[in-house]
Amino acid sequence: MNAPLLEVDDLKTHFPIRAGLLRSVVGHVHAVDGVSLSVQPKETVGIVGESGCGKTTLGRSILRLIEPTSGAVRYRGEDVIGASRQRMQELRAEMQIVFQDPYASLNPRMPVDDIIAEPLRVHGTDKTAARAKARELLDAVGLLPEHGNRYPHEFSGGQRQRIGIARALSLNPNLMILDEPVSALDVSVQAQVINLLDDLQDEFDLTYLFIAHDLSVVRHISDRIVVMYLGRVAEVADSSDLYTSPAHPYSHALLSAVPVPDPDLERDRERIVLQGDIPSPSDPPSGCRFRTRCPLAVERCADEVPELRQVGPGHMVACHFPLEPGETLIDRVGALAV
Amino acid sequence: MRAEPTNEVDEPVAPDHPRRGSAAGTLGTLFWLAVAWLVLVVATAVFAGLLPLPDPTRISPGRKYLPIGSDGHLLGTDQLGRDILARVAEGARISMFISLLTVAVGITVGGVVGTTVGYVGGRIEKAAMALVNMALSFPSLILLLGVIAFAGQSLRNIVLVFCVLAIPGYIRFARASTLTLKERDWVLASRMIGAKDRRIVFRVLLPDVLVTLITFGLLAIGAVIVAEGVIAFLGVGVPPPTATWGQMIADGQRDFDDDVIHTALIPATAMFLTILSLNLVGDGLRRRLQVREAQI
Repeated sequence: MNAPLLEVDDLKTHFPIRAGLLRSVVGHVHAVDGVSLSVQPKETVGIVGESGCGKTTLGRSILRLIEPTSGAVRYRGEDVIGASRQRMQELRAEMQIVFQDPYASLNPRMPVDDIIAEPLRVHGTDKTAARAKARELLDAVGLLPEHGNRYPHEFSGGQRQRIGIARALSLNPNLMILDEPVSALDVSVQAQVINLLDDLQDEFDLTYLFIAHDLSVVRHISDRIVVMYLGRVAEVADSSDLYTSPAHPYSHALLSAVPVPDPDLERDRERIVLQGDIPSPSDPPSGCRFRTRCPLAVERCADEVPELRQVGPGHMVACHFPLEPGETLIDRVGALAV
Repeated sequence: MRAEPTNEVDEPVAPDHPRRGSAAGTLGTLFWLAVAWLVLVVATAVFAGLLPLPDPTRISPGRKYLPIGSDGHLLGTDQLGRDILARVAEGARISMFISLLTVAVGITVGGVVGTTVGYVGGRIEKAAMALVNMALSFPSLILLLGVIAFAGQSLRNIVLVFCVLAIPGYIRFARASTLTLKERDWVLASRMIGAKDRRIVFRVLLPDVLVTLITFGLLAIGAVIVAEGVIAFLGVGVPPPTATWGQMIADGQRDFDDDVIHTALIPATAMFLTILSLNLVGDGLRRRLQVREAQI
């Protein structure tokens, strides 16, 4: 294995909950609670999980847009969490983010040219050169250079997201954190933006950390997938492995929720509908986080936190009773009943 | 001015075809009448010295209480025989000077300080806001009386006190807008590209905050004009012989016993129309701005 581009080690981000007259801290929301992962250069790692599982907080904590509580983030082996303000500004030229909401992420009072050129201006490029580069980038993301004079509200959601991507590209970053970049877009537009991201990855040698709640979106673009549940990693696997043989009951349930675009298959598809809601991250269940909704949960799951362990090459799972390759949750539940 | 009838309700804007600065319904005849009045007042204030008016301080004891429409005195004369039109014009000058300066200082200082502490947060913000709350709860009249007692009753000191009193409110306002703005993704995006804090405060946040402060400030101009009237009644206003609207009303109301009302009514009308116009214009602009905001 090569040296990883990005390493995240036991990262925790907790938000204090304040209450009462004196605003004293009465608890913490464990948004990200001990996540470790590593990303190789030019790889695409997908991060999936339900709303509220901490995906967005994880992405922002890595970039220190939110200061993490503990743990380590290393970029090319260099400590990011301890980096000085000065160094952080330099590092941020190499790590960029594309935001989820293309309507909120562009300054409505700035023309598109300025939005894309701003990063260059901040890093000392002169005005004419920055503007020329902005036009170039508009072209690279499939917009017309003359669109640069317009304001964000004159564009559609998909076009705005392209502008957001162009801004992220302007500093020639290595790592791009894509925070649900297509979930706010129409399905027809989603595909175009994903294909654009795919092309840009080859063109600019980019490494992606692709955050999404939709497995079908992630599958198309990711080499490896990290499944998150309630602030923790449930499973890490190569994209194809995860789809053919998910080992964690949660991954299995997630996959079974992906519709199949064939009516006959779709009719016979086994669907596992999880009971209940995701528990509150301010008071997570003991032991395995997933046990309150897991059909396989037994006493041990409440007592003992499952560590992330290897079940195949590059395949890690945090479960006391992982599913074997080819085994489905229905098989297992049936077996338990017997 | 627009000839077509005004719409009661703003027309919905088609989201697909937003044009920059496009009219969302008309602003209405009243709005433009208000603008016309304000233009007149400001022009009078600026050009008062050039207009063919008598000296507003020249006393003619033989020509007291001339009624409106008198020969040579279009709006009559007051208790000392001074020309009321000339005095109202000079009053416009003083009122505009005090109110515009106060609001401009409030917006600039309050905007910069409020945005900065709101963005920086933490202890600095807490300390600044504690000071602001103390300043806001301090009785303003006592400050004014204190300053005038020790530093003397002059236009300069009054403007100074007004500015000091105005700033804390704008700091609060600017900080509140900053708190909502700084969590927006585009502000995070600016941090992501390595923009320094100063750039974020002045280039990203402040332009947005100022727009809100200016609409608020338009309404506040009226409040400052009224405040000048109030302190004139208390006898601590701009010292005579300078004519101010407040001083003229305060002097004029003593003439009610002699059945003379125009000496107070004319400056009062000028003040009333100005404040009404400011509110109408401020309101119209605010509505227009909100539509623009919604388009964004």
